Amino acid sequence: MKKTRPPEAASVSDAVSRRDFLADSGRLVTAACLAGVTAGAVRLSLPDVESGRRPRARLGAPADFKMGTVTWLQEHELFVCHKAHGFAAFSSRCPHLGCTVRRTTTGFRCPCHGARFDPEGRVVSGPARRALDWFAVETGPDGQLWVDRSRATEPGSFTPLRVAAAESAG
Amino acid sequence: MSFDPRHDSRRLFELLLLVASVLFAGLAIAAAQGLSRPWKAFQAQFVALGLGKSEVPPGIVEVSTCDGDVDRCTTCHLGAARLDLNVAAIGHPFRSHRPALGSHTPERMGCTACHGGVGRALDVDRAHALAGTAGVDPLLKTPFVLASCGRCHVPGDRPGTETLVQGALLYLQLGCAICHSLTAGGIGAWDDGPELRALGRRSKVELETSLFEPAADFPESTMPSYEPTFEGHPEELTVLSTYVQALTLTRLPACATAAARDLGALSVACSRCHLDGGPAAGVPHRCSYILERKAELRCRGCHGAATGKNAAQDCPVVAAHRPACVACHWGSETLRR
Amino acid sequence: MSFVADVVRAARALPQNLRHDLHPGVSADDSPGSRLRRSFLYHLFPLRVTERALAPATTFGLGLVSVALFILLTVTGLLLMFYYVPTPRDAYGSMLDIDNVVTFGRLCRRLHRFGADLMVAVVLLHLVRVVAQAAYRRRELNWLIGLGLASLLVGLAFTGYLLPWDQRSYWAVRVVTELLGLLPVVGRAMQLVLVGGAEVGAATLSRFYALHVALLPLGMLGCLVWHLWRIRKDGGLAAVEVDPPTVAAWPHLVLRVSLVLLGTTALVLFVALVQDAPLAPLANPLRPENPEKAPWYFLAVQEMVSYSALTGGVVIPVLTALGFLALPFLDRADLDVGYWLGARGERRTVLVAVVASGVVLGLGTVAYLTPELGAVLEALPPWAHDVLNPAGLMLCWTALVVVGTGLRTDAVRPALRAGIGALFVGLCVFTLLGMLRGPDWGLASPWEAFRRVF
Repeated sequence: MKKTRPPEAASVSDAVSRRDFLADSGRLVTAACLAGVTAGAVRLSLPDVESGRRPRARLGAPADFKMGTVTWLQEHELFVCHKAHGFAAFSSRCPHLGCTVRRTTTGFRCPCHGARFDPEGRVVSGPARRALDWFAVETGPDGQLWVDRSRATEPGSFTPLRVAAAESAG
Repeated sequence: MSFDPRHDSRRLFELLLLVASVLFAGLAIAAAQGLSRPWKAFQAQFVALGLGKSEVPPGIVEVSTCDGDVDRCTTCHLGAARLDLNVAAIGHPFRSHRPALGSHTPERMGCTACHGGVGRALDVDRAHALAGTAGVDPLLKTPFVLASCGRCHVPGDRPGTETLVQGALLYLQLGCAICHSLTAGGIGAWDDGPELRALGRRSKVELETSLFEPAADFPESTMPSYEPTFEGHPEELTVLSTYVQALTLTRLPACATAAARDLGALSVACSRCHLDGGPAAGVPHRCSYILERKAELRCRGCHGAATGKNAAQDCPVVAAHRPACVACHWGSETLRR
Repeated sequence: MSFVADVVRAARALPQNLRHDLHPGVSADDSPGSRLRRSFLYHLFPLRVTERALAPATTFGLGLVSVALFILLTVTGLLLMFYYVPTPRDAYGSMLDIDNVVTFGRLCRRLHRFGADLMVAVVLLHLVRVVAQAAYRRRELNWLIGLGLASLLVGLAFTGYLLPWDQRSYWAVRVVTELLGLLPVVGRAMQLVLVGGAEVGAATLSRFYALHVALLPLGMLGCLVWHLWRIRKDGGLAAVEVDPPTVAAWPHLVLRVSLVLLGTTALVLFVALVQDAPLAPLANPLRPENPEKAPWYFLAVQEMVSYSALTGGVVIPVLTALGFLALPFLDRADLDVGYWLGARGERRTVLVAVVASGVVLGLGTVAYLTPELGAVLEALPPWAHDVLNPAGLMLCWTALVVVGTGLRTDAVRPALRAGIGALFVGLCVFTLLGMLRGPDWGLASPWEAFRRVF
């Protein structure tokens, strides 16, 4: 049995406008869904945890760093400096574009773009605009040396440590 | 043909709008679910209590475990690392950690190596895994946290593992070993009971049920009730439960080696045979079971100087004692074979 | 200063030019519908489609649902690739991270997992539909492409199954790769190519990952486009009517396609909102799962192999594959193509055959599991075990059904349909039985089995 169709001529304008309205709303909601999914995909792509390097890292026993030396810890990308007035740690990453700087007789040099730094990491010449990053050093409850990257310090600021004093006295 | 696509299509505009709206609603719910961060409430609470070092919640906090994995427990358990604060009164989840056992600091070990749970998870249910996805180590509460010693240590190998040694002795003394072997295939003559290590994780309540009313879960079980045995000895029940829980924990050999390297001290079980002074004579075996049977197990008496690695597998004396060895060395693949 | 004037003029005319240049051949006053039709959809759909093709009961839109799921799986799969690390050391941890710290990661994984399960089921139903309508007639090439797509899909589902590197996936893959090794001639080579060594390990994971994210999806995309293009080339859905009534594709077809796409996405989304995607503990090669189970679409084969490796793992799969490949070349009748199960009398015959198969195979399997019959069978020589088991029964019964129905109706198509029906019923019985298998491959109560799955 055939269904009775609505008379075409009578309701054309009504039907068309209603249909257009429904179609437009449908498109709108679908577009909103797509936009939502896209936004969600972008949010998903932003990592919530930056796994890898932790702000606090154990550098080793204070005795491992001889007085008056600068030790490069490759896995931490850090130089650890032990002087009479204490310990300091600063980054071996060039503040220009992140290459690893090398030690020279006069300080440090970046092999990528030629930036030069003095022995305490301050810029001497080249494209770098600021000094190598210095981080706070402390002794943990285990007596080991720790670095805290979340706490930046001024270049040239050494942490006097009792362990170090005992070490040099011994 | 009663179907008429021309007429039907008008309806479809409405239906399409409806489906699109339902999809949108679903996406909205999904967005709400996905963006909820239950741990943020804990951090806000911690800051509100005035305990945080700063006014800013720290976000997701990660601790490396000795196994090279990541634990995020301290994202909520913010007081755990704060030995400077007396936050015991504040209670969970901010309670500070009790003094750690020797070198087992959270910074070296992470959290889950001892406490179980899923270290990467951030919501309470998943992280604590108490609902128990089969095989995942659920959170171990005191005193059962001592079961975790067996993840790396052979019971008796160092101080602190006494509970597990007592558990192993109970397992032997109460006759559990007669039916429940610790090795696939079994050794005992009445080897009817399931292998304990294959049983999977059991909670304290489940373990009590299977000891007191074995037929409750397995109607065909012929195991007697052990309720009278433990009457008046609740501590023995705890010890045995801890031991049985330890049997099923994931082993973390990487932690053991890392710790051994850090400490510069290796704990060797070689003295099992080399009691009369071999390469590992300097390391005394703490197992009272062996020390009592020194004479029987003196391998060199029979094998001379040629005591090889595989001698233990063929030796009838060792074979006779194997259930006892396995009670502590359940993780040793050589012994389990 | 005519340079400045030119720039200003160009800037003023930019919106109009953009509209014109980006829609070549479309005038600005066209309605959105006609613009779409002329530019993009024109190439996807024919201008007019038959009224019958639009009726829901003609195909239930199963092919289209599969396409929707393919899109969903591609999108979610790409997003998951941002976080998934395909090494045994990191894979499981990255799964935990996706579930626990990646925003929308858990949702994404659930969509991917349930979408995949649904796609296997929908494609199976699509295959059943094509058989039940004899729609493979005069579309022989597309039938073969479709079979290729189905096998690619099974490959995708199976390679994806290993990636979580949990106990379930590890042992399922061990079981299935061992199954593959049973195939004659090529089995051992296939096993080696997949496993990449003596044991399922790092090499296996790399290979499965490469197959899952690159080779198989690309193959599938290519075959899918080919499959859809062949539908157009073959003149739309299979039908033998002369000059059937048609309607314009816009809006009638486009509306329905949109509805199916959106509806499928909404369905999977709502499943993903309430149900968690399974993740077992980390894979442990030293500690087998008990029971070690293959994914559900391989359970029937695993169950059959538990009776006889030769019959269940080699003879039945190979015969089934050959039978499906040969289907359009065996059935040459053009009558009733594109209509559900053809004539009334034929329908009854096929239905009787299917019901009878259910009874025979169900009872046969139950009888096989009784200890009394087991004791009798135990005493027989080894070769008898390969035949006298439920899988052998299914094989013989299917052959009987094909011959019996063929003789009774004196036609090839009902015989083939009844045979496929019998096979399908048998595989369903074995899948159900496989789901009930508990520790040591013993039978567990349905409740126990249900609890293990959820």
